[in-house]
Amino acid sequence: MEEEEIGHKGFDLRLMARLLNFLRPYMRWVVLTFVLIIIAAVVRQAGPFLTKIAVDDYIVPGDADGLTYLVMLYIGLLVAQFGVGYCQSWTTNMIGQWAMHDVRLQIFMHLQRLPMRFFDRTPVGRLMARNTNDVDALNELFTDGIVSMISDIFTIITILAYIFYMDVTLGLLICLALPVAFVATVWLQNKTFFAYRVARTLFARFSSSLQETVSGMEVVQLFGCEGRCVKRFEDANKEYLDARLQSTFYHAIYFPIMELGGILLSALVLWYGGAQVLDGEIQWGVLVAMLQYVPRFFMPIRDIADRFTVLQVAMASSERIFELLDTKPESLGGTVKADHLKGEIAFQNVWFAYNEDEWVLRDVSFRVAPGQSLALVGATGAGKSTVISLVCRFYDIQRGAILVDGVDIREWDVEELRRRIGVVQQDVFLFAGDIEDNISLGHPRISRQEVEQAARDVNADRFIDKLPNTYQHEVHERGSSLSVGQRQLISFARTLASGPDILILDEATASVDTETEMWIQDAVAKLMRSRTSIAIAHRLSTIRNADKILVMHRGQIREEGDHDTLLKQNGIYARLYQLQYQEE
Amino acid sequence: MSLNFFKPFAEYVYPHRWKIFWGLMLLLGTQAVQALVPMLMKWAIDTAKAGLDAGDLTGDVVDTITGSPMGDLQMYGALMAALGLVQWGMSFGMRWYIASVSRFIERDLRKLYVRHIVRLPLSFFQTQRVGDLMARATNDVEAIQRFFYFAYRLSLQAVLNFAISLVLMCIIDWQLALLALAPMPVMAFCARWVGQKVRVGYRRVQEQFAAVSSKIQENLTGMRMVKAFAMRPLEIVDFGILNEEYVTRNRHLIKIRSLYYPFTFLLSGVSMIVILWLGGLRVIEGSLSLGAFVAFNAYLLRMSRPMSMLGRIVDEYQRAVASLRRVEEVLKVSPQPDVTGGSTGDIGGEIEFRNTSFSYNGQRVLKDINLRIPAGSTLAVVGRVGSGKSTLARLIPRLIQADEGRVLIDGKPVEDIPLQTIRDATGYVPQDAFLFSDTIRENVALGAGAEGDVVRATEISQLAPDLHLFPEQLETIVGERGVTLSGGQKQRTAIARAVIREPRILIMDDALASVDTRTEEEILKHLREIMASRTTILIAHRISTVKDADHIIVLDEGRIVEQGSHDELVAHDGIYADMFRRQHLAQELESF
Repeated sequence: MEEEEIGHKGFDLRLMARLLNFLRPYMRWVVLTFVLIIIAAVVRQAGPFLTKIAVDDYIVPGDADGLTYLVMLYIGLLVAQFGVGYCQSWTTNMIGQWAMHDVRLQIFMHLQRLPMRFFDRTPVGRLMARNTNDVDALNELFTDGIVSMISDIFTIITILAYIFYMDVTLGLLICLALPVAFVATVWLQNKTFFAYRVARTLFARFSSSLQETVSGMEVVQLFGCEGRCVKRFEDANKEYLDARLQSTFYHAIYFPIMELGGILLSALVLWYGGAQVLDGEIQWGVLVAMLQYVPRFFMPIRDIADRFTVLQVAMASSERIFELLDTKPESLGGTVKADHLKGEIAFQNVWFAYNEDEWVLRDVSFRVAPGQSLALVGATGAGKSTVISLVCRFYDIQRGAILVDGVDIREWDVEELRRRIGVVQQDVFLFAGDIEDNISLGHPRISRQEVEQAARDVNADRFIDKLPNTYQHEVHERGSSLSVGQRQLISFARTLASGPDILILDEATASVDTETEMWIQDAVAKLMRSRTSIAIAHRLSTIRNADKILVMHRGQIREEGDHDTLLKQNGIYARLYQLQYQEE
Repeated sequence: MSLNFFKPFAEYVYPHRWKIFWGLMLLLGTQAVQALVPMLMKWAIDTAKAGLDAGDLTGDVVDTITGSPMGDLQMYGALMAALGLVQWGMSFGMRWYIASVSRFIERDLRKLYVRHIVRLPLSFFQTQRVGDLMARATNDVEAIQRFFYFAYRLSLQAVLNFAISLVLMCIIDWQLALLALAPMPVMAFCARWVGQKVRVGYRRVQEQFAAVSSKIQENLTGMRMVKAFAMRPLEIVDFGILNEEYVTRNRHLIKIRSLYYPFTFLLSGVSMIVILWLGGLRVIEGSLSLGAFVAFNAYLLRMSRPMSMLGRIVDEYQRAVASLRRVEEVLKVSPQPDVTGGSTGDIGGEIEFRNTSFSYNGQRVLKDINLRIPAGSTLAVVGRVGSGKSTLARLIPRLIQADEGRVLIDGKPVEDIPLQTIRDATGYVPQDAFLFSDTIRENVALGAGAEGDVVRATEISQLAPDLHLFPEQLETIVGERGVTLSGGQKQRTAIARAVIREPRILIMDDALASVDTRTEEEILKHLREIMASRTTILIAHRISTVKDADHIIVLDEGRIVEQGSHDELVAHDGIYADMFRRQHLAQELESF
């Protein structure tokens, strides 16, 4: 559970301006919405005014026909109100949807550009929350927050206009409510905003204490500290209750004040307005209409107070979204592109660390000639995986240089380069879709024939043909319906289908049945033949097939040569061989 | 709205019934007082109108209370103000009672939930995601709270308001009242229709939302793949299609949902027209007073607001019921069975496995284990990953339950010993030590042990030499919100945590894996001293850890395949001997 701290400023204008930027493409719709809001307010608040006309011009003088005409007009107005209200709701919500569509797309596109380092650090769940919950909060900010608030403000203005048109003195009397309501609302905001912030912090505290209890349940139960954990949770829960009761208390004061204001104002209007009528200063209808406007006047004021909470939550969400959008994307690289790579790779005195000063690679230099195959061996943590990540430029090195076809890797257009390099990962990731999609990866230029050819070349056809729907067989999340070996074969086919000039292979360590193992070995040999390849080898056959073996130890290259020479050296390789490969 | 609308919540409301009772009384009071206001307007206007029509403002002709129409007008105004003040106090009390109950229910539910889950068997937590268990305690409880805070009060208020207003309107003119309210059933019918359509549309939107979310999830999880295959443009197109579809489905939903609010306004508008027209005609006829006409208008306005909230009320109610169901799902899981009686001193430390088997996900992880560990001896367990070593150890403190055969402590089946007794007597150090976001001292003591004990425990576990590396030594806060410890430091903290309790049975489940060999030797040396009379089970990969144990067993695929002392096993030249040779090689490799 991540903390949902509220922004400290509450209402940040700069943030607001950035948010409004998302509405820019729909400016015409926004303008239309505002026009509709104004029309809706004028039409909706016309009722009491029409009542005034009805009372003064028809009811009191006793003109039944006139009243019927006026009622017809009212019906017309009601239909108009329905139409305008519907259109306004439609445009408001649609603008929200369009804008959120854009926000989601922008976040998604931005995420695609972020460096690998970012994903190493950030849990997927948090990024998911940005693109779902936070975007929803933004939508609410727009539809329930901003638009409704503007609509409320227009409603207040419209009511004031009707009131003043009818009678200025009574209008001024009703305006007395404004400063009182304003002060009360500001008071409530001040009180609750603070209480709200305290409550959110406490909420974060008890949810993290609960999360800890759940994650560490084994320790909790083994060491009998259930009581302590429960108590700690309950303390936070209790404090949370107190903080919440505080804001509940303020709300319980505020809303009755608004109700009281409404009744007092009605009483005042009745008293003063009634006297005016008796004095003949105003007509009956004016008094009747005024009495109807007073409660209508307080509704939008109360609603505005309610909307502030929505705004506060949404502000925190938008802050988080912008923080993500402001994360620096990975470098696009230089401009060098090629339709075809010769396939020469060279590391020149490469130093690299994921975290400052913890060198994972120290002064690594090697060269792979075009068409040559290289096997990387070494104990876990020796730096083999790092080498292949660097060839794909998932990370930038700190010192030295990596050259592909004699050109510094930083000069290459990153995506073009990656497109020419085929990677077989240890942990095969299958996308939801069918086998064909998972081999072609949705590339329109890879035809069904090519998919089948690739599958045949890596012996994957043998099991695919046996599947109920062959290439249209649906694969589920993380490919649980396929065996580990089958998934590896798909991953080979996928890489082959992309037609790479350089092959990178991170062999899986998981053991598979003998038959599949045979097919895999055969496929690996085929893949590595005829193109430059670098393999993190776990199979003896892969090592033997390689033109050159590089032995890594603690981030350095310690031995280099072919299998027989290295064995004779009786060094690291000889030990590794005995430890890891001898059984085969 | 069925009769047992609030029934699902009855159990949780019950403790706060008096608050609810007073809240309801006050609610009734506020509604009654508020309903009087239009009446006062009616009387005031009627008196004034009568006076004006008679051309008599002195009160000679017209029947007045104060003596003049003007005086009456002022009296009614003052009365209204007084009623306003009375209802202000009641309204505050009503809101405070009902709203605070929502907060109390929220607290109670969370309390109940947390107290319950700490008693659940660990197997429960293996089948649940932490996030989901959290969501029930946070989001779901919040949904229930929101319902009580808002919709609960509003629905009660709407019913009372409607009833009182209807009665008063009928008193004034029942025909007009019924005519004005005639559109209400139509409205209820239409609201239902719209509601159904909205539900269908909403479900379709939710489905698409799930599709969009899983696309994002897939993309993020497979980011390495996406980058390696330069799939960015394709992924954006894919996402774009799903995103478009989401908007399209939302558009269908909005098309219907946008009907709702204008529709409620339309219906209250129709009522207004009925009053304006028929009411107006009656005023012209003289069968209805102008004041009554005003009062009718005021009643209708008061009714229209809760009506327009009906959608929100139903929505929040449904959400709250669904959330309550999710919370109760967990509350219904039965806690781990336990017996009572006995005390820690009763445990001697002899452990025996008798034909013990254990299956996980349909796979037998332990098969027919027969083993006796005499009290005070040290047993070492070795074997490959997945050979069942941890499972064997976890059976002892009943972290898991054998499906066949038994586990006995001092000749007594573990199920017959109170959990508390077993666990107090056992010090279990898991491989992956869990630390709380608290000080090192608290993490070691976990509520037990005195000042001196903590220091001694850190010395035994060899955490003490590292303490000076932390800003506040024992008081340093570790974990998520504090200093991150290395794997080895975590393991040593966990060892200290077990040692401080002076357990009769110490289980080290691969607890020295992240500690270097020299420190390991120190720890084992210290442990040997204090564990001399206690039973110790050492699970390890390193031969150096286990070679001095009284008895060593080798597990393979859930069975004991070799056992004996170190020398016997090396001589036997089986799996153990092979491990011994390999580790020798690995050690050589280390030195390169």
